[in-house]
Amino acid sequence: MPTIFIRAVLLYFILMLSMRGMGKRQLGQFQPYEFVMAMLIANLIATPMSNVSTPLLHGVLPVAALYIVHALITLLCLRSDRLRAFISGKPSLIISKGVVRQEELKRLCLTLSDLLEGLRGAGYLDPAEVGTAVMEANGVITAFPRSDRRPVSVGEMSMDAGYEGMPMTLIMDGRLQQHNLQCARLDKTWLESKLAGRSLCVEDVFLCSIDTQGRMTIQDRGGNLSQFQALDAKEVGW
Amino acid sequence: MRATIISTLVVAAFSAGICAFSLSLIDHVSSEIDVMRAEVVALADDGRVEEARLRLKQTAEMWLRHERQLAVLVSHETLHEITGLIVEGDANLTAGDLDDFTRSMALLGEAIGRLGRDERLTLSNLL
Repeated sequence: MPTIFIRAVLLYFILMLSMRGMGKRQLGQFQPYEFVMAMLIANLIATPMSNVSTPLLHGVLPVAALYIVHALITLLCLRSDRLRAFISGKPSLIISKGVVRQEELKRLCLTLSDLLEGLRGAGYLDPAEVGTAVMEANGVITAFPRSDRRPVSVGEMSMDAGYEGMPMTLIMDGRLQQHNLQCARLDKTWLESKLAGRSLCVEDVFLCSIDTQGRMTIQDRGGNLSQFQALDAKEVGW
Repeated sequence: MRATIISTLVVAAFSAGICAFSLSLIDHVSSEIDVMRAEVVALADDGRVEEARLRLKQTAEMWLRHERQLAVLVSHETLHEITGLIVEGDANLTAGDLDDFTRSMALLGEAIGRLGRDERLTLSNLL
């Protein structure tokens, strides 16, 4: 049993170092140590699951070993930036001031096609629109527009857009979301009165939500959508 | 973070407990069975076949008692191999075939030794 435990720990580190060595391209959206965990656990569980001659503990114990190592790495990464940089890697600046950094692309083994694909994924068809692009430690490319290409913000136009927060879902598939209703400091009677104004009851509503501007959106079971001002923006209390 | 630390400690304690229990049980059972096997062989070598059969029967009973516990910890193939060799040894002894009996007991000794060796924390096992 201790042999199995330690072997699982050794394999974890070997796989993790391999993933780090392979670079960010292989990762997709996981951190290297998360990716290793996902890969190993599936295999560890499969053997005792399919082979009744193998004790269940032969699958459980290695998973426990991985859990411990994973938790320790997570905790240590919270404490040490250097360890986090070593284990997860650092973000890499691949476009700076609108110019593609060729040396960085070479270092990351990233082709121009990969970069263009990543930029399209980030919503940029034309690389000339991108001012800054970063390849994050998890392999995802994030891009930001050049300052002369980005939309004008509400703040720059000196307008007051009010508070924009999380909309509250009040009815889902004909079921009242009591918790959200409480969070929004509203009650069932108030909601039913608003629905009655549109000849609806709770059971008739497929989806109903209210945003932080006080606008309520209702979709009934027939697919009809209606939006109206249900609360004054000042009355919104969440 | 506190929950992570606590759950990690719990899992670590559970794992350490399982490892310690497994090592101790396998070591205890394998050494006990091996001593009994050696006694059976010595009795048979002295020509005390009936006593050897009785001792082998006790060995089999003892093994079957522990096998249920070991099945949770060790691959079942190894356990079946040991059970098979005890049964084979008994059959050979009953038939008076001492050469095959000696061979079965030697293989049993090896299988019991392997049971302990495979679980031991050694560099060769780790690698």
